[in-house]
Order: sequence, then structure tokens, then C-alpha cells
Amino acid sequence: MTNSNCANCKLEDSCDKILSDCEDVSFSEEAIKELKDWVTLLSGTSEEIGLLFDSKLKEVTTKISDDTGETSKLTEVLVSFKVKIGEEMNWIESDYRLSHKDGFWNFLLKYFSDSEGRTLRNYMKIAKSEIDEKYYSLGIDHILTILTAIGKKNFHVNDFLANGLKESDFELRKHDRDEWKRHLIKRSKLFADKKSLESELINLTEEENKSLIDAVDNNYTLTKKDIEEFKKIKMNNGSIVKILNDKIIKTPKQAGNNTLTLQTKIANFRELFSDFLHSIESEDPNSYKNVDRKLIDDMVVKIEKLESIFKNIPQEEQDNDTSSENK
Amino acid sequence: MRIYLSGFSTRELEEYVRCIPQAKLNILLSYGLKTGDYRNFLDKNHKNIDSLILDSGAFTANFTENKENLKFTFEGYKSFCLKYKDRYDFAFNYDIDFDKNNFSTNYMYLKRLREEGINVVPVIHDYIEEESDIYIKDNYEIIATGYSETEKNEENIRFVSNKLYSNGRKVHALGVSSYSWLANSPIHFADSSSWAKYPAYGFMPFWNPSLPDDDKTHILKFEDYTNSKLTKYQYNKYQYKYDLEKYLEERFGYEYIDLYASKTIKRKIVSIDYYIKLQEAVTAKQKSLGFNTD
Repeated sequence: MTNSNCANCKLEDSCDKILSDCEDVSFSEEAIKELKDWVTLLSGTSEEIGLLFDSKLKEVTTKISDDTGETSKLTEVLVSFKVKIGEEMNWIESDYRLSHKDGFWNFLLKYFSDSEGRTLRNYMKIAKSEIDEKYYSLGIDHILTILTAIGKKNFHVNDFLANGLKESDFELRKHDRDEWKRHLIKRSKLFADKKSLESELINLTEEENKSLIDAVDNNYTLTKKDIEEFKKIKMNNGSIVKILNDKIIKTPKQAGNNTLTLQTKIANFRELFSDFLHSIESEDPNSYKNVDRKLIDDMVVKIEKLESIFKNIPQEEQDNDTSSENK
Repeated sequence: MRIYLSGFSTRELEEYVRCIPQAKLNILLSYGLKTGDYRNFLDKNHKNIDSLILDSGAFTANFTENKENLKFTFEGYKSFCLKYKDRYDFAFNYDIDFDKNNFSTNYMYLKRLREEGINVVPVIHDYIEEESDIYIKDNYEIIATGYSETEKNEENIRFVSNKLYSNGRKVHALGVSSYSWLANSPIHFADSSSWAKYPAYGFMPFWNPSLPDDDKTHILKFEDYTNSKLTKYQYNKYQYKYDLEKYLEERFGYEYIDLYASKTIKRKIVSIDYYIKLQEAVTAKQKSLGFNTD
């Protein structure tokens, strides 16, 4: 076994385990056991499927034993196996639906536990997506994340992965899973917008493309009305950069004037002063003689000054406030 | 029903109990957040705590900006739950993955915690499909409804809680503390961190008994800053000022003007009391609808 970290590891940021110790790695002996279990489980649905996957399993184990230690290749082999499972289950589902009125989930529950059933449905989802084998190295979890982000948008997953994401976008998944998910949602939305524009024969310049990215990243949603507007501008050889830049809703930061109101300042001081008075009252009176008299005199002067300042605050407002409609 | 308060410290407990000695509070401690003196609640007996529960901090892990500062793992949470096994009523699952497609990750952790003998509560992130059925079948007594980007709404929480209740299960609505969401559904437990957030942002909830509606919530705003935005219910111009003044005096021994201080603990104490009143009102409403959530 190799000492490199697992490509599928869910603890990418912090995992320092070697491959053979990793719980999440997909091709340890445990993984082979998982696959064997799948074969046993699938045999329960039909003997043919059991046999089919038994031979597939042999292929997988052979590939693993021939492995040169490259993690991504092994991930591909395992994803491929799981996609095959998904494909077969999709066939079973379509046959089942022809002859049964109840949902396929009930059928799954006859042969599999709930969690196995859900895992199978994930494999079926990946198989249905027809994602290109070259992306299998991403691993099951990341592929599912991508498919979830795409949802039912107007493009194919392979198109998106080839043309909607850059190398740096893919790198993000290794460092921050949540940011990767958010990023995929934004990029898939952007890609859908581009497809909508392309279908209207609106080709964007590099600068317009950049502005569109900025706008989408700032939660802009392309509307049919916008497409019509863009079409007109482009037909007249105009640029949509300005319009897109205007679409970015820039929420101006509030003036950083977090100054407490006079009332709050007084209330805060009053609370501190109350605590102070309380602590003075609980002191042993004998300890007073150790305090510098000048300090006490100065404090009294300040309190008197405070009193003279407060005399200038009008009374009217307070009187109004105390009159409640429920009084 | 119980509304658990999260992010609590002994300072607030002591002040609340000083004002209301017979108080019984429900506290949710977060292993992930480890705020303040949370261990005090576990290391000592507090006669004013009715129930104590544990959360892994998965929500924080999923939404924190600064992930490198998060120092918690499944193994850590498991050990923590085991160490204090007799000190809390139940602990939420280590549901670290909020993506509904990655159910198996959370399920694996759930099984591992249960195998250790921990009274673990599964957390639903998929409101539409059969995640709740799985937990019913697995015979969990309490099942929580958790975060979902698109599915966590009043309607879905009602749907799921009705299903769980009719199957003899108790529901904990994680992070839900609004009257309408709780009162009209058979929800046994909920929790709130808003009791502390409101005062932190210059607000204070008040359960106003003079209001004719079932939901007697008014969220009051303090004009702490010169650029404070005005809202419907300004504390210093509150139309029910007389009622509030009387309540503050009789219940806590506070003066109205005490609460003008922006950092005073008194705002938090009034906020805590709001959730106690809310808990009573929700329980009463649920009872009137035929739900037994005691």
C-alpha cells in the first residue's frame, strides 16, 4: 500500500492517516468486503444480477491487486463498479414500473435496508446522469454534490464539467467542502444563464462574460426580460457590460457611526456606578482611611459636575413617555 | 413541551434564579461551541435545571466561516457523550453532513453512538422522502428535525412532526422557536439561541399578556446607537410601557430605566423569561389541539 492520503477522504483538511488506515478510503479490504456485500445483496434481487456483479467484482479485485498505488485510478474503478450497479438497478426499476403500480422504493425495501436503498438510489442517480468515466476520479460523494448543484438545469453534467468549471474550481473541493458546494451552485447557475443566452444566439465578449460572472456571484438571476434586452443591445453591436454591472446589488455599508446614544451612555454608566456603589457599601469602613483623600475629593467634584450637566436636560420628553395607552 | 436555551452560562442562570427562585430551565449545551463555562452545567448539580441535552456542534461546523478554528471530531464528541452519560437526557447525532444525499455519513455516526449506549437523537435533513421512516423503524424515541437549505419550513415541519407523533415518537424541532411553528404541531422539544442573540443586537422579546392574539410576542428595539434603525416597537416609546414596567418590577425587581444600559444582563434575563412564557403558551395551545407534549 502507498502512504499518500486518500483522495476521497472526508477529512481532507486534517487527515494525516496513511491510506491503509483510512476509514473512508474506497479500496481497502473493507471496501472489497463492501463490494462483496453488494454482490450478495444484489443476488437477492435476481440470480443473473448476482452472477453479473460477481464477475465485475473479480475485475475490480484484479485491478486493485495490479494497482500501482495511484489513488485516483482506484477510485475510478470503484465508482465504475457502483455506476454499473446503478445502471442495473435503473433497468430493474424500468421493468418494475411496467408491471407494478406501487413505488420502486417499496421494492428496494424488500431486498435492502433503508440506508442501502438510499445508497442504491444515489448510484442510480449517477448512472442516469451518464457522467463521463473520466470524472469518476472525483469519487461518489463529489459527483453527487455536482449533480445536486446542477439539479434540473438546461445542460448536461459532462458539458458543465468540461466547460463550466476551471481547474481551480475543482481544487476547491479538496480544501473546503461547503465552499465547493456553494461554488458549484453559483457556477451551475452561471452556466445555465450562458446556455440560455447562447440559445438566443447572444454571444458574449470576454469582458461581458466577466461581468456576467460577477453579477451571478452577487446573486443576479437572468430573466427572460433581460435576455430580450440583451438581444436588442447585441443586435445593435452594443455592450451589455454596464447593464450587468448595474445588476450587482451593492449594499452600501452603513456609515460606521456606531456611537452610543447619550441615553445609552448614561444608562451604561449608571449600571457601572450602581455596581461601584454596591461594592463601596460592602467594604469595611476601616479601609476608607487608606484611600488618598485627594482622590475622593476629585471624584466628588466630578459627580457634582455631572449633576450640573444633567440639570440642562429637559423633562418634557420623559413625561410623555410614561403615559401608556394601557395605563 | 420544552424550549431548550443554548449558549447559556452560569452567570445568567444565577441572575435568573435570583429573580425567580423556583425557576426550572432547560439547557442545550454544544460540544462544538464550548462556550463560556459550559462544563459547570455538567460537573455540578443545579436544582433549577429541569433538563440538559447535548449537541455536537454540527450546525456550527456547517456554517462557520473560520473552519480551521473548529476543534472537534466524532471521536471527541463520542467520548464527551460517554463521559457525561448520566448528566444529560439525550444527545443529538454527529450529523456533520447537511447534504440530504449524504445521509449514509450521518447514519453511520448515529449507529456508532447508539452502539456505545448513548441516548442519541437522529436529525432529519430530508423532510420530503423517507428519512423519518428509517428512524421510526429503527425505534428512536426522539427524532429531531434539522437544517435543510430548501425543505425546512413550517409546512414540512408540521408534516414530519405529525407523522412522527402519530407513530408514537417525540419531535425536537432544532433551531425553531417561533410560536406559530411550534404551537400548531405536536412538537415535544425545541431550542433557541435567540434569547442571547436578540439582546446582542439591541432587541428584546416580550410576551405581552395584553395582546388579544394567541401569539403575544412583541420584539422591542433599543435605540442604543445614534444610527439605530427604528422598528415598530421601540423600547423607549413602547405603547405598553406601563404593562412592561409593572412586569419588570414584579417579576424581576428591575426598573424600566435599568434596561437602557446596552450591555446589561437584565435584557438577557427578560429575554430568557420570554422563552419560558412562550413554552407555557405553546404547551397550552398544543393541548387545546389534542396534542400531548408534556
